Amino acid sequence: MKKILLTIVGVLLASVAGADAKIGSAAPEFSVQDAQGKTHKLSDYKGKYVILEWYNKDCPYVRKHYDSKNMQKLQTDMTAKGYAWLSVISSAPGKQGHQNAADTLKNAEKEGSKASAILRDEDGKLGKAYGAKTTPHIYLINPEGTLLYNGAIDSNDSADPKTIAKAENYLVRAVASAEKGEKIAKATSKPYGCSVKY
Amino acid sequence: MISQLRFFLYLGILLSGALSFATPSSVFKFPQGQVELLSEGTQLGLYFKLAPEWHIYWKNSGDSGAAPKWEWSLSQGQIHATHWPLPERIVVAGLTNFGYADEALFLFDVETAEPNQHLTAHLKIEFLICKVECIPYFTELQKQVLLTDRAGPLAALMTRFSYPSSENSGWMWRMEKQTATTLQTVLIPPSSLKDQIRYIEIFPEDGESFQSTVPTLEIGAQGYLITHRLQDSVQKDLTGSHFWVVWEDHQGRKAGQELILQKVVPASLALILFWAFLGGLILNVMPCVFPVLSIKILSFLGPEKQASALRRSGLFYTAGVVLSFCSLGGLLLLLRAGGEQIGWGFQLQSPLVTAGISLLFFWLGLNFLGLFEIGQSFSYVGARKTSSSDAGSFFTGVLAVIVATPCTAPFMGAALGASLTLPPAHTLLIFAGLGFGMAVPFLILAYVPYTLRFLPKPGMWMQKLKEFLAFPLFATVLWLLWVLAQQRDVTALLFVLALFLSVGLWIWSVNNLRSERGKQFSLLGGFLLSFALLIFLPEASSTSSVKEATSAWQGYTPEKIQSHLAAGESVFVDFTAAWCITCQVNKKWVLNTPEILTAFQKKNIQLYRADWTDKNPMITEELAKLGRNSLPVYVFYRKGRSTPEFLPEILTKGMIIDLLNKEEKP
Repeated sequence: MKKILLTIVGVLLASVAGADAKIGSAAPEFSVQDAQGKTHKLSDYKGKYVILEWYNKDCPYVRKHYDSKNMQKLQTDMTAKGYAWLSVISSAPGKQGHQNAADTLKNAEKEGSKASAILRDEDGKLGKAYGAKTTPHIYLINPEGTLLYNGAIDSNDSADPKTIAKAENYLVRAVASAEKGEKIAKATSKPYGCSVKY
Repeated sequence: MISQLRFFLYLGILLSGALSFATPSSVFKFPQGQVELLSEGTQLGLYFKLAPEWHIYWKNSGDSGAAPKWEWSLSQGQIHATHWPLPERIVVAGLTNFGYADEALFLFDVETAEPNQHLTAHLKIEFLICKVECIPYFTELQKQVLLTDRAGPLAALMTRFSYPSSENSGWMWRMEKQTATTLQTVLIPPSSLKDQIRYIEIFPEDGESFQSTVPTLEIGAQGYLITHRLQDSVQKDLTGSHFWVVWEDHQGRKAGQELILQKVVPASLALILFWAFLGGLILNVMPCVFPVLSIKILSFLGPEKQASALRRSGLFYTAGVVLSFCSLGGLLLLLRAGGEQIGWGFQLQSPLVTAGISLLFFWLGLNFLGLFEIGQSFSYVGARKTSSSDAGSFFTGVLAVIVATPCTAPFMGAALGASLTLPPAHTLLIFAGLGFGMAVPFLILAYVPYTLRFLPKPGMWMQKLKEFLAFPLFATVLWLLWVLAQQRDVTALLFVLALFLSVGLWIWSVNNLRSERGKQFSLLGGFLLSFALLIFLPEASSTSSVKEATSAWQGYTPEKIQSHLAAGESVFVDFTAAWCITCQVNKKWVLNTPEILTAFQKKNIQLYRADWTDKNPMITEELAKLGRNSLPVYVFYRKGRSTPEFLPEILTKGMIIDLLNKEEKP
């Protein structure tokens, strides 16, 4: 029965991913310091919705959402509801977007960031635990610690800020459904933007 | 100072104003390269030339990045088709993207009412280029174009790129199984291409559903079995998904095909069954099966050849064979369903089974030599119409399957392993087909007594042949003991040999008994006792037991491979096992020859050997990642390439040399 001796073939190798966070399962626990040196754990936020946003100040797609003030507005809206908004910088030292603690604070000030905290994930542990691929990559976690949304911030992967107005904002949609206790129609999407600089 | 700043500010405003009002040119230059609008025949072309290491993206950009976006406005006519060149996987910092390094030429078919038209082609374009960092550009291009049928300057450029064919030229692609995390598909190339494909790669258009890592690819009896990794929580039916299949032939030419995933009932099950049947037929002449079966045939030559008794015997024998094969197949499926990642050949991964089969063969060999007889019903069935001879026929069938397993494992592992990816019912059918094929020569002998005339006349030679056939059995015992010594150690080997000694002594002493009944009883007791004693088989005395002595080969761990790749070194991995005969042949005649070892050394290839003789979960998992579940598997991780290359199951020195030399070409 036969072996077809084709001279063959190619395949694979996914090394990085592996244990990415899964929708409907417990979001991976983490313990990371913010720019002020305070340690944040996911378990500290039991009882609150948590939004994770991957950030790299020099990525054009991050610029799209910050220069247009779209991201700051979302941060303001969400934190006003008592949600925790954690911006995460996973850039490794020496890589694009990496900042020391002082610069992180200075930059956040300049950026007008309204995030609850900016986590400095220099070793990329948090990013890899979640499988964060791009900046901006967005995750939504419910008060019980279950992952609800994983993906792009909105439906238009253009770098042009003019596209924001017409795009469907997946995070806003997900939050709206979650608050009503409805199933989230789009629980995952393909994150767009620059790669996270692990 | 302030006034200077203001000057530059005004200058900037002036310049940007001038840019936005001027007619766009057909070329846009940026620090990392340029993009040019070209025309050729009835096609428009968009040609990107990028500085080294910069890339742009395919329509599905992969893990990060974004596809270029364009908006055409033509003074007349319209764009009716867009052709993207064949993409490649570009791995940056652990993320896999689909795109084009250095250069890319996108083609657009223009449809106009009349030929030979002058028109103005205007294009608004946004594109993202990345090295590690990414830069988006927005621009407009414009060109006056004369659409003719004549070849223009684009022709030379076009030869540098390949575009997929959208008309299906005989490929088949169908869905096998969709789970929460994976999608299995079967891809069958047209027969005209079968021998020409050296390397094949799959690109999903739907990045929302499919991960961009390379799907695992396995060669099955029908074609490629592909396991795609899905994005988290994909619930929709993926039938109808669009893919690009890209392959390279032996001359290094690339071609592509656009395909849509279809859900089709496998029409070729009949064909697989046919192969299974043929495989079963071949089993009859395998060295481990042949002796047992010869005895069975000889029994047909006995003095009382009543047609009905023969038929009965043939039927019971067939039932024994088919049911045993189905039970083995069922057991395998059950174990797999229980989460064990095993393939065919798993039986020999347990030292207990290896030792048990070798003991069984030893008993059989002694029986053949005439040292003892266990009744007339065991493996030596006369033509008596008793129920015990029915059971005897049945158990001869069972025995034939048991003795066949050491042969099926090394010779048919890959094929049977591939069959396990079919639905369970089909897999069982294949095992049944294999059994039927194995039994069919006896059925023919039993049902068409005429054929018996082709067998030689009974006589003394039968006894001699039977005695002689003990020796292939003993040879198989030697091989099994060697496997056992690899699995455990010399102590275990000694234990089994001591058991053999005891068996011999037991038989000798039992033969001195007067009573026939007592003899039979004692023999049966000794037979069962010897197998029971196997549970005392010693564990290996140390974990490092008997491993490869050849220092060129290092012990495999995935971490070591990763660290070599990270250090920019190429790695060759030999997945092997003592019980895999093909592996041993390849090792002896190819991999361990001085010529090949020197060739590896010259290219500074790191050599690793993953020994699966014992059930090693780490290796099982790595094989699963590679999409394999049976041996041999040879993988070459070329430095700087994300996708490992596979070699065929039967190696030649030429293949290795070719593999290594290929590296020198760009």
